[in-house]
Amino acid sequence: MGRKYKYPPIMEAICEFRLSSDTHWDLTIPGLFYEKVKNDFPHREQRIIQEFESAQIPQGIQHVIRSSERVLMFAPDRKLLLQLGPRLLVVNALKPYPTWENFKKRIELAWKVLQEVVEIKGLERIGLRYINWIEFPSQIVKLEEYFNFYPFVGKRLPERMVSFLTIAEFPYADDRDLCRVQIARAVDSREKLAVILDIDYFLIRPHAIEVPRGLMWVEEAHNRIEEVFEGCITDQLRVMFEEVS
Amino acid sequence: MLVFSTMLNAIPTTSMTQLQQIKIEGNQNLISEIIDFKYGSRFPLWDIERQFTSKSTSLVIEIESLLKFLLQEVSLKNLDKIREYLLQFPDIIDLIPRAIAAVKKHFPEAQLVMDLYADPEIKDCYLVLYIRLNEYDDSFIDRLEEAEAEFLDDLGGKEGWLQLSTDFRRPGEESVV
Repeated sequence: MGRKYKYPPIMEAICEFRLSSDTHWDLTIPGLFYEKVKNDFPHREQRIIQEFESAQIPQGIQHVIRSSERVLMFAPDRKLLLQLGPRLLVVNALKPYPTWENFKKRIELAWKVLQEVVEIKGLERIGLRYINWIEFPSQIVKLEEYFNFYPFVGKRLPERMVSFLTIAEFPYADDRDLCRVQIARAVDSREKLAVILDIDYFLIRPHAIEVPRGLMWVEEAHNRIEEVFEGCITDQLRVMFEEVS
Repeated sequence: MLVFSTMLNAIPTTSMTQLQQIKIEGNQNLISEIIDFKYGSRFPLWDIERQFTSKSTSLVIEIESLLKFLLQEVSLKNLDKIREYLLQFPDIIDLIPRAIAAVKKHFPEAQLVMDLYADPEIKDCYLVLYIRLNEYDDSFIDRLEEAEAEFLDDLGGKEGWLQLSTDFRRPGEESVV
C-alpha cells in the first residue's frame, strides 16, 4: 500500500488496452459497448483521430496517415471517461483522482464489458499512466529540493530555464515492461512554475500477457508506478501534498 | 536505462530525422509508434517526442500540446480556466487549430486573444477568440462571418463551444499571459 496524500498531484490517470491485430473489430462494437456502460457513462461523444504512423521496413521508413473514429463516454461529472477506438480501450480519470480502488473498479468494468462484446485474441500493449501536475508559486524553483528526478544543470549554465524535458526509461519484469518517466515544464503563467511528472508504465512485448491476466498486470503496474513516483519526489514535496496516515 | 534529456526549443522542431535517429539508437521498437500530425509541421520537440513515444490517449498531454501550439499564434488569458474547460470539453480540441487557421486567413493582420467567457446568470461558459485590429472598418463583420463559416458546421453537436468575437481593442492593449 502506497502513501496517501491530502492533495495528491494526479491530474490524469490513464489505463489503456490495445488489442492484437487478429482481434476482429467492426463499427457495431462501440454501440454494443455503450449500451452496457451507459448507466455509468451516459454522455457519448465522437472524435476523429488522425494518426501518422512511421514504421521501419526493409526499404527504409514508411509513413502512413490514418483517420479513425474514437468514441468517448463520460460519467455524469465528466471526470471519468472511456475511450473506445479500433482495438483500443482507454479509461481516463481526471482530477480529483477518485482513489485507486475506485479507478480500478472502472477499469475492471470497462475491460469486462469489452470482453463481452469482442472476442479478444491477444494484447498488443497495456499501459497505466499517471500524469502529475505540481505547481509552485514562484518562477524560480530549485528542482533538486523537491525532486529526485530532474534535469541536472551545471553551475556554469544559467539558473533560469524557460523550458525543460527529461525522460528516462526503466525496464521491469525481465524487460517485458518499461516505465517511462518524464519531467517537463508545463505551459504556465508568468507568476508560477508548473511541472508535469509523467509516469507511464507499459507492456513492451506484445502478447507477453494473456488476456485473462490483463487486470493482474494492471495491479502490478500500479504498484510499480507508486514506487517510481515516491522515488521521484523528496520529503519537501510530500509536505506540500500533506501526507495522511 | 535510456535517458533522453533536452531543452525544448534547442533543437529545430522540423528535425524529424534527428528525433528518429535518437529513437533508433535508443530503442528500435519506438520507431514504429504513432504520432499525431494535426497541428501541422510546427511541433514543439516535446510534442513530437511524446506523440512519438506514447500514443495520444491522455487528455492532459493533448491539451498541453495544443496550448503550446496556441502560444505561438494567440495570446491566452486565464490560462488555467482555458485548460480546465478543455479538460471538460475535449471534443473541441481538434477544432481549435482549424478555427485559428480560418481566422488568420481572413484576418492576417489581427492579434488573436483567447479567453474563457463565463455567463454567471445561466452558469454557462465557452471559449472566445477575440480578433483585435488596429482599425475596424465596415468589412469587419463580413470577414468575421466568413471565418466563422469555415468551422461552424463542425461545432454543431459538440459539447464545447468556441465563439469568434472582438472587444474592439487594438493589438497589445491589454496585458495577457
